[in-house]
Amino acid sequence: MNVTAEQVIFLAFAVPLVAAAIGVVVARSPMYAAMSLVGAFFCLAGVYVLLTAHLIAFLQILVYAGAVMVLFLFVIMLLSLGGEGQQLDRLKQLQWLGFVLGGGGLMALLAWISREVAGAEMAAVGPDFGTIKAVGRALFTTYLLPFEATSLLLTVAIVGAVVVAKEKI
Amino acid sequence: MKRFFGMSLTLALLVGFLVLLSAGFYWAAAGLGWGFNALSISFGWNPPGTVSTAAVSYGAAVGNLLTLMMVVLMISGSMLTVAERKWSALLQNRIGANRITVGGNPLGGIPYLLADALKMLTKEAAAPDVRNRLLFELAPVLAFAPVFCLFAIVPVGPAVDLGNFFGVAAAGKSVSLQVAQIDAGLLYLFAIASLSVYGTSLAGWASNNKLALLGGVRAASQMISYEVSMGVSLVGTMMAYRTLRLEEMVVAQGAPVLGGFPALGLLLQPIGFLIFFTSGFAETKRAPFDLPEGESEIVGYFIEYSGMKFGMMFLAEFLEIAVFAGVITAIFLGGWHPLVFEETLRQNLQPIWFAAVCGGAFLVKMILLMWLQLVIRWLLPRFRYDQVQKLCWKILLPASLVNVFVTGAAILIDPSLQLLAWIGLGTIIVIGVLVGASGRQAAATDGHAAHGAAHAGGH
Amino acid sequence: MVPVQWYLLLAAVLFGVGLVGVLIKRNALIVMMCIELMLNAANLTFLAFARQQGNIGGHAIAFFVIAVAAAEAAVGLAIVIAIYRTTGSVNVDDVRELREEG
Repeated sequence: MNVTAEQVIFLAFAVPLVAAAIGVVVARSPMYAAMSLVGAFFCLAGVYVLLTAHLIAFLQILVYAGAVMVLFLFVIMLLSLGGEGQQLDRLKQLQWLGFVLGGGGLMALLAWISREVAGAEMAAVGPDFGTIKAVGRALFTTYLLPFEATSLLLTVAIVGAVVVAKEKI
Repeated sequence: MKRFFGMSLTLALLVGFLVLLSAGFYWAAAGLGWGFNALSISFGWNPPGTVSTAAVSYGAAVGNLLTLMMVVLMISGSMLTVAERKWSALLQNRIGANRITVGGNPLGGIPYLLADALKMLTKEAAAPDVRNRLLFELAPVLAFAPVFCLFAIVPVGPAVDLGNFFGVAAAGKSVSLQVAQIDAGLLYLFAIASLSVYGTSLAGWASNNKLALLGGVRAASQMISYEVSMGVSLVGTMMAYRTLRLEEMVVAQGAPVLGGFPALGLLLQPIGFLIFFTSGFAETKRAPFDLPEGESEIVGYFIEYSGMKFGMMFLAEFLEIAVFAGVITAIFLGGWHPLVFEETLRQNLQPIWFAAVCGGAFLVKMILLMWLQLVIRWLLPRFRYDQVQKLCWKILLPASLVNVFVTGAAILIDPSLQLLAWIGLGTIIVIGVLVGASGRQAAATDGHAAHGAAHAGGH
Repeated sequence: MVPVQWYLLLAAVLFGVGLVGVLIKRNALIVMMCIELMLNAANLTFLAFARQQGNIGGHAIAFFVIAVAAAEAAVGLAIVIAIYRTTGSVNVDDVRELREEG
């Protein structure tokens, strides 16, 4: 099989990405899980760049790695959480069940994808595909209503978060 | 009078040195670009006699990486450690670091650099047993690396045609003093800047020390708060210059507005400048925003670090000052535009030398801004923690949102930016008057208070 | 050129790992992180198909997903803090006051 440079770069991002994602699940302490997830988001941003989604790649780092995960980190530090420690024994079987179910679902998905969408060709795209200008134009014309709805959603989320987390308002 | 001449001479020499330095940078970038091109021809990647854009831009990027990031950034970061001591000494009316002398001359404290480096490298690396090993070692790197990467998008000098360096064969390709020219521009800035919080908060958490943890939590909450106002404060400039690329912003700032005066970011967006400066200052975690450090109360997130690991965090702070100065210069102070005699210089100088003068102008502005940050750090007392959060969420954020609305409306009414410039000028005048008035008032009340205190002491 | 199914397979693996995490982890914070992972897998699928079809709409949807994920994280973490305050734990199995006995 002929391996191109782009495929090598893809693998260089994808393999650490999967490793970091597994790290999130197997990590004992929430802090390690969070740092693992930050690493995963970085690799994912690299994959996005390969897909010529430059704006989304930077938003990924800006919003996920820079804001959402810092929030997680802040909560972990604020609650000073340690490892998971003793888990409820009653649920051990349920955990195994979850592992089997989730893994089975994953296998089914993988099998389906490799059978159904094999050989689909990538479209040729212009140099401005995925740039800020192109995505911005789409957001402010075709997707204007969802865009405005998102701003409303964020406002509601801010108010909700303050109301829920604050002891006395 | 003699002293005045001496100072003028020193300043002129400094400016001349910076111009020569940036000329050298241009030659380095162009030479490496040309060299990469020759290499790619010798490897047979592109036919002989041609100039490949990719090879030239990679070579120039490598050259800029070496000159701008290794030389300009690292040297200004380490010189700032000395400058801070000397400047704090001047402000506090003492002499400052002068105990290390070379042949009886303290050389402005510069030998302290060597002493500091020696001390940090040879110090015992004491670390708590109960630390989280991996994250404890990782934290200084995470604090240092993002700040260092930020400088990649700062445009220090304009683009120059490669033909000026290597004759007609190379014409058509250009090199500029900027490591990476990316479409996302300012988004890269925000994305990478938001990562520097990991270093501080992980350092606080991994040390397994109450005070360090407090510092880390303070750092995390302060930095994510100020990122918000920092981001919103620049929306106005993005709208005015219609781009997110720093190099295009700098070019756009050369266009005349208001009777030939260049459309500086400072003129168009004075409110945006103030908010960005304040928020960026909070991001550097220096007084008056040094709550995460707060050496008189909690010592700070790096309390358990020693030796070079502490040195890296320390240096990261100074690099932040330098990078922040560079970014402000590019966005608000006209970047590499010399601002005075620009047309004369452009017409009478070789393109390379004109570009070198521009690079020198950028460095001069950057040095001025670094100096301003040092002055502010040594003049203002630390905020209380609730004041820090109130300043961000109740003053800076609403103000920056209003700024976005006003800017948007002004650009919508008058796309030629004239209206925006008039609004900006009016704002600057109003702010100047307010500051002058309040300064006078504060001085008056200070006088009263001092008088009252003396009175009370007398009794 | 990387074929589109590589991206889809990667997204499926991410989604599966996230799903397993949601099902077996009991720490509410890690469960939320796994949900973020699943959202990102969905995003990757959107972007892969956007690239394959040459359609910028996928990028817009990915943008909305990121915004929604940010909102979700803010509210979710607020709920975690509130639960920690009342029960002293972030274990999702400890939160069952409304459950019927038996």
